[in-house]
Amino acid sequence: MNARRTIVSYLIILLILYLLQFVLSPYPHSLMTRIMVFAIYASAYNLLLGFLGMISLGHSMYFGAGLYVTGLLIINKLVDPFSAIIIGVFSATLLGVATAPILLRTRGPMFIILTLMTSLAFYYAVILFNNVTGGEQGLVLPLERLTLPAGKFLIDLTSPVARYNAALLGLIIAMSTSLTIYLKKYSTLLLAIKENEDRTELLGYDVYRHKLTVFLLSSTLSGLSGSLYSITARYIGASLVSVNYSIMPLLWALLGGQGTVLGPLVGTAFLTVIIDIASSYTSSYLIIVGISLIALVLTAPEGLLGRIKTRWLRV
Amino acid sequence: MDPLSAFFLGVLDGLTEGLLFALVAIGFTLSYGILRIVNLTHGEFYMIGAVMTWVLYEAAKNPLYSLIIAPLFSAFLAVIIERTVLSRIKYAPEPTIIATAGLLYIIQQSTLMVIGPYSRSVPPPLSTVISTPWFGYSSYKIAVALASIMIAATLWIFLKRTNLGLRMRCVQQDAELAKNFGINVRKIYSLGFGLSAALAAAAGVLIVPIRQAHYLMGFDALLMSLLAVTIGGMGSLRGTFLASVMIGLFGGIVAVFTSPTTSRILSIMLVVVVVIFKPHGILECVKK
Amino acid sequence: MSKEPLLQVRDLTKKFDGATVLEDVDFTIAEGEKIAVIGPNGAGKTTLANLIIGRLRPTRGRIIYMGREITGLPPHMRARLGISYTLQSIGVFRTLTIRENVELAEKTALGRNHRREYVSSAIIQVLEMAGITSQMDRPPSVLSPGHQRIVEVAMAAMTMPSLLILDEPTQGLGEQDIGLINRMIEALGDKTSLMIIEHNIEFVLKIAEKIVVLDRGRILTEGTPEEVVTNESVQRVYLGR
Repeated sequence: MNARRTIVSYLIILLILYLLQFVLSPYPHSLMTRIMVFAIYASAYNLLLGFLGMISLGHSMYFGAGLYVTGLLIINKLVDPFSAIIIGVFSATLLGVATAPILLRTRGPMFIILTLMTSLAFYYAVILFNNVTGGEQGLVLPLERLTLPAGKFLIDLTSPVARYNAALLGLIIAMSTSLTIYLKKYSTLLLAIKENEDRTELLGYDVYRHKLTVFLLSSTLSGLSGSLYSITARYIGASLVSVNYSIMPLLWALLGGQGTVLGPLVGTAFLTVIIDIASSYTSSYLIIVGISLIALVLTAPEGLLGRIKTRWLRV
Repeated sequence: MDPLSAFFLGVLDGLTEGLLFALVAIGFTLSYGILRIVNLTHGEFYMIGAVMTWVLYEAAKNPLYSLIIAPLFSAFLAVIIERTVLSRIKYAPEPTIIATAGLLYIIQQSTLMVIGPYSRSVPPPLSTVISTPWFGYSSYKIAVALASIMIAATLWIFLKRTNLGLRMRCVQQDAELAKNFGINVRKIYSLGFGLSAALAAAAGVLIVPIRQAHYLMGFDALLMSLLAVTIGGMGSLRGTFLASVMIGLFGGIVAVFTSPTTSRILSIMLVVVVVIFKPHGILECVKK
Repeated sequence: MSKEPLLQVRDLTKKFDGATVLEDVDFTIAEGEKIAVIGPNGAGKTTLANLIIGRLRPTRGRIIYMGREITGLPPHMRARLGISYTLQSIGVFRTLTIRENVELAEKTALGRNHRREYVSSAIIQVLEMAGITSQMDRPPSVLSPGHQRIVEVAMAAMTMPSLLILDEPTQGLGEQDIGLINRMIEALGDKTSLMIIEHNIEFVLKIAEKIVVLDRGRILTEGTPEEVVTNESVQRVYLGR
């Protein structure tokens, strides 16, 4: 396995992403920020989908935990933005810990259904407590909360530069996680579990523990994406934790193809740009999501199942 | 209204809703039982039933026809989907879920493009009120409950007594074996899937005068179906029906004292709790 | 050298929905002993194996391994204690390379056995003999089913088990491959116990020190190969097929 080549390609991509901010005009610049934030989510989702073959339709819950906890902490002046992010991410982890025992005991269709149901419960809870959360309409994060003095300087988290690099930093964390799993050959064990849990267990591996580990990494990083979204978009709203935002990461990961590290980023970028263009023409732009899913399912060479179940290649 | 009356009202409303969504749910479980697929598009057939009712009402002022037309149209659409998409991916579990999720968006967004984002209403064909000592109850709602029971009963008889129904049950038991007995499994798949869509659409037709037609209403029906099959057991018609009624009852009572949103949340949590203790559905302990 | 048997199965009974698949099964395997479990189809042999490795829970009865009760332990814990199992169907991972398959198995051995180096290289030698080592970085699908089975047995052997359970390992294999399986078993040495479920009587007679005969969920008889082969009821029920 060419570990060095993988790492080098990875670093080159990160460099390109970093340099991109100096050449993009304002609109593509903020679009790129959004793409990167969502790519964190896609990467997180891909940990479960690519390595373990588990399709979750409930990840919006973990994204939402990060989104709302961070957002509400900032709106209500409870802590500074950095602590808000950390607390937000941690709450996503906690939610993962709370839901894992229920969800991980099931497989296949029942897992999918349960994840869908639990994330719907989260969505309805957000709607229910809309005097706190702002419900469907949502809440905007005030500018003042996002500028903080640091010694003689002023850190302005609302500046495009800050937002872009915060997103990039988050993406580095997310992609590095996938990369590490791959480089440390942990992915071999995970692929074995994906192919045949029983057989892996018979070899002596505690399959539940490993599924739990990946699941918690996935929910934590989803929370990171949500946290960063609240800050970079300065908005929290129920639409961001609807079923749509559970299906989007699935689509991003699938569109990105077989790449372990790069796949989610490519898929997210592609779909986000297309939806961005489409939304200026029609309010029914989500139909693109539907068409893409069908197209994927029908055109994958070994069928979509083959695509999910076969091994994931390098960068 | 005093709490006792409110309670009874909740019971009645819950029963009606439970019975209506039972139609949707048994449609869902039928497509799981026969084709072994989890069909996320199912709620959209319900929505199509409702929207078509409104469209036909606006066009012809007589919504009763929609009870025939909408289910037929949905069945037709379902068969097309089954032939073009589902059989292509060979009904494999995960691709089917992804495909039906995609179809959900296509149908939903197409409807949005056609009728817009607003709720559309249709007046109930029966506007009389049945008075009880506690409150007046809409006779239409009672009619809906009765209609749901009748439709479910008809389905039951169809499956148990007719030749076609027998063939469907054979395929549900063991498709391979059914093929060896000369049953045209492909045809049964199409018919079964069409039937499940028709059931959902019928429920959609019935509910429009009570709720309104809206392009997003499918989600709710899908959720109710999922809740029902999770407790009632995937593929079990009896279990799904009972579970749906129970969930409806529970939700109806809770909603009277809190709110529809809270009732949804509590219904979900109820189901999750049941799943923890009885992963295969409640009927498992009722041994025949 | 302890006198206590490695594995004791006591009153083991398994019922599924009213059907009794195994009833009051009682036997022991000593350390280093090589036994075979034979019997007609449906006799309960695979169920027995599944109970020992923990994929199924018994309706009644106990399983005692190395002196401790393992009846409640999950499969991966039993594997860690040294029980390895190969399934009837071929259980190599198709989405991994052969090397990754073998390494995956090796990792769980984790210093359990000080003879590890020796056994490990003996196993690799057998793979070499089969010509498999030249293809280590390809997926198992490039190998014939017989060779895939050999890799699978190698994996089970790599975990350095104290008790190796093989479920119909020679099914569909040619003579040459059966010989290689034989060598693999020899590579494990005398301290490893073996329980082999088989229909291939020739193979059984070559390998086993003791044979247990199952019929319709109960032990018909047990004994040395000579005793069993000449036993009349065994001949009636099974060998005269």
